[in-house]
Amino acid sequence: MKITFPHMGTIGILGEAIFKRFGREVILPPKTSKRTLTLGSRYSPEFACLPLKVTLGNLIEALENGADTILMLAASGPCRFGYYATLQNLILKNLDYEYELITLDYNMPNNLRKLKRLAKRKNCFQIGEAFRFGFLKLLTMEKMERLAHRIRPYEIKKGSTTKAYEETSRIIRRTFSFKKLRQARRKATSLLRGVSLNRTRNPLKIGVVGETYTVLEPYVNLEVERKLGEMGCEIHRPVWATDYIISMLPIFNRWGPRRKYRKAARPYLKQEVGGECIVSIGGTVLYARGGFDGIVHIAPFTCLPEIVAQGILSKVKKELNIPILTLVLDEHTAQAGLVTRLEAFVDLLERRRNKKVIGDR
Amino acid sequence: MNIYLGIDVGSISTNLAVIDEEKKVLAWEYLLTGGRPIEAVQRGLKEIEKKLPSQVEIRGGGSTGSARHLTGILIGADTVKSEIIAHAVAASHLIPEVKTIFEIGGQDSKIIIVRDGVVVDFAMNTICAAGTGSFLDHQAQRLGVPIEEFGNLALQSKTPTRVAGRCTVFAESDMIHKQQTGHATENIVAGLCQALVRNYLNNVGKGKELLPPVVFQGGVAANKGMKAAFEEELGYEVIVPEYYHVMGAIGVAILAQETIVETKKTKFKGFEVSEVDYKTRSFECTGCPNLCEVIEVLMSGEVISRWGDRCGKWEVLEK
Ligand code: SF4
Ligand code: SF4
Repeated sequence: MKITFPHMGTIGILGEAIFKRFGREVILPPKTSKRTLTLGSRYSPEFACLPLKVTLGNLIEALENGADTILMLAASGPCRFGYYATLQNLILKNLDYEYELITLDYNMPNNLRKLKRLAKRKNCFQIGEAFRFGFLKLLTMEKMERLAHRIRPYEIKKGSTTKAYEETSRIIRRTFSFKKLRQARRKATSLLRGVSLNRTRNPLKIGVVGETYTVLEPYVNLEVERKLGEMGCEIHRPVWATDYIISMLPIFNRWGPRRKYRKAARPYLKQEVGGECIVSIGGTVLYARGGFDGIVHIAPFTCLPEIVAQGILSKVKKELNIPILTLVLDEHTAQAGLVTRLEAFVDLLERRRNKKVIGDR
Repeated sequence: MNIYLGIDVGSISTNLAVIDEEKKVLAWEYLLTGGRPIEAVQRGLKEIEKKLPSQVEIRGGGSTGSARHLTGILIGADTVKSEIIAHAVAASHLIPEVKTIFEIGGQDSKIIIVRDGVVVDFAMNTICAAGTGSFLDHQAQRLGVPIEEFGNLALQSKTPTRVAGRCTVFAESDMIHKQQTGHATENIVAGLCQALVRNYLNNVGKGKELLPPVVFQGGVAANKGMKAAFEEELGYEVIVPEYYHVMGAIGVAILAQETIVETKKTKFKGFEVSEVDYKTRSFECTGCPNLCEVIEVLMSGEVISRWGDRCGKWEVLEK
């Protein structure tokens, strides 16, 4: 049994760690690339959302590399994400791929049964430890990402933070025990701390909100966070893979990390409408109150929850007086146009902050 | 005399402008890029130098437009800014109360919302060609109307034909149909202007608060039919500034002046840049399955700029 699952930012780390500890072989899809997108788009319905296309590409590439078992999350609810597993299964079967599909959803007893089977003869304690380890590893990776977001605008040599972060990622990905992880974490932190910085800068603070997948997957968002960072902006975001996973557990559904966003969004939207809509709104409200300079809102083309968010955000923008740039991404989004938009937005924020009125010197 | 130079290199046209300390435009140049930004910049520099009085000192230079980064490196720009800011700065300088800017150029169109001299919002359309200069040129040609007369002809129409403007393909086939059913050319031309204006306001201007004064600039602003169609649709006057077609260059020249106030000393390499030998070449990176086409610019054999890589690994030059 060779397990695989699609990428979503760094989330693959979690599954890989858990199943390796279960004693299973894991074949991660190759890093998402142009080929992934091409394959995925070729076999998807044209108006399917972008994440479906890209993750389909991931699965095809993993199957090509010998994977024979696909694990997918199937969140239910009003959003199309609930159908991904079903639809992709149909497409892959039509392409004559042979594999077994295992889906995890909100039905916890069922999930546990499936996992128990995957866990071979491991006992409950070992299974628990595997989960704890996977989660910790993912959390460590996210800590490093957060750190990279904070230091990038100060870097003296453009690109040095990204280089260090990639090295960090390699070090952490290699570890499969608690002890090694602790060591890796220390090493990784010092690597990032070693990037030479110019602390006299005063970076703009930008909140990046939007649909989970596009926010987390750098290939799909054309590395918008790196680009903004290198233009001198400090990035904060409300969307993290660990939070996403916690929110999937029923007990945390109400009280988990989404709660504060739900509360902040209340004046504008009183209930969840699927996807990350409420987090995009709540996040924007919190960032605006926290004195951020601007918001970048990312959404895949035809994404329902984020279209709703975009509408509501235009009101938030006016009332809380915070500039918002919405980027709608699809497989044709061009690099150059995106960079121009980002640069213009950063210029706008900078001039706004410095109260630089055109023409006066 | 102290002067500042601005260069706007777009995919269709390359514009240069020179201003003095008072931000008065001393000279400008408008030429076609023709897919060769470096040559266009060099030619432009040569031409504009001839138009300048002797005894001038370039205190600063800036670049904008889609080839702004490349141009910035070529000329040693003091500031490299996006078209949005450059256009807004120029419009606000010429019409200080401006609240809304329509910019329609050869290949793209944008809208910029300004309040109290600060850009507060913008949108750009780089995908749909409807309403851009190239589309109008193409249609004028098809109708057999010289583009210079297009606008005047549109103004003669009393009953513009309704043309579907949702998409260029529809607009074109609808126009052919209207032509065949015997509509007068001036009515079709006027109808086309109206369709493009509707398309622009619905797509680019979607959800924006369009308050007067409105400034209309970019190459298409030369078209009186478009100006009239905007005015009819909005119900108020639309101002086309004197230098409507080189506003980006003027704006970035002003920004260069702003930068020099802080940095004091210019990095501008001088008009000699037009004599230097530049070459471009490209290669395919095989570092990962993205297979990016990376483009390099060489100055006298030395790589001075690279772009086209997704991951940023080639962009940063090891010095
Ligand atoms: S959140 Fe948006 S992108 Fe994701 S499944 Fe739903 S509609 Fe598609
Ligand atoms: S430039 Fe970077 S993203 Fe592009 S092919 Fe090379 S390694 Fe891959």
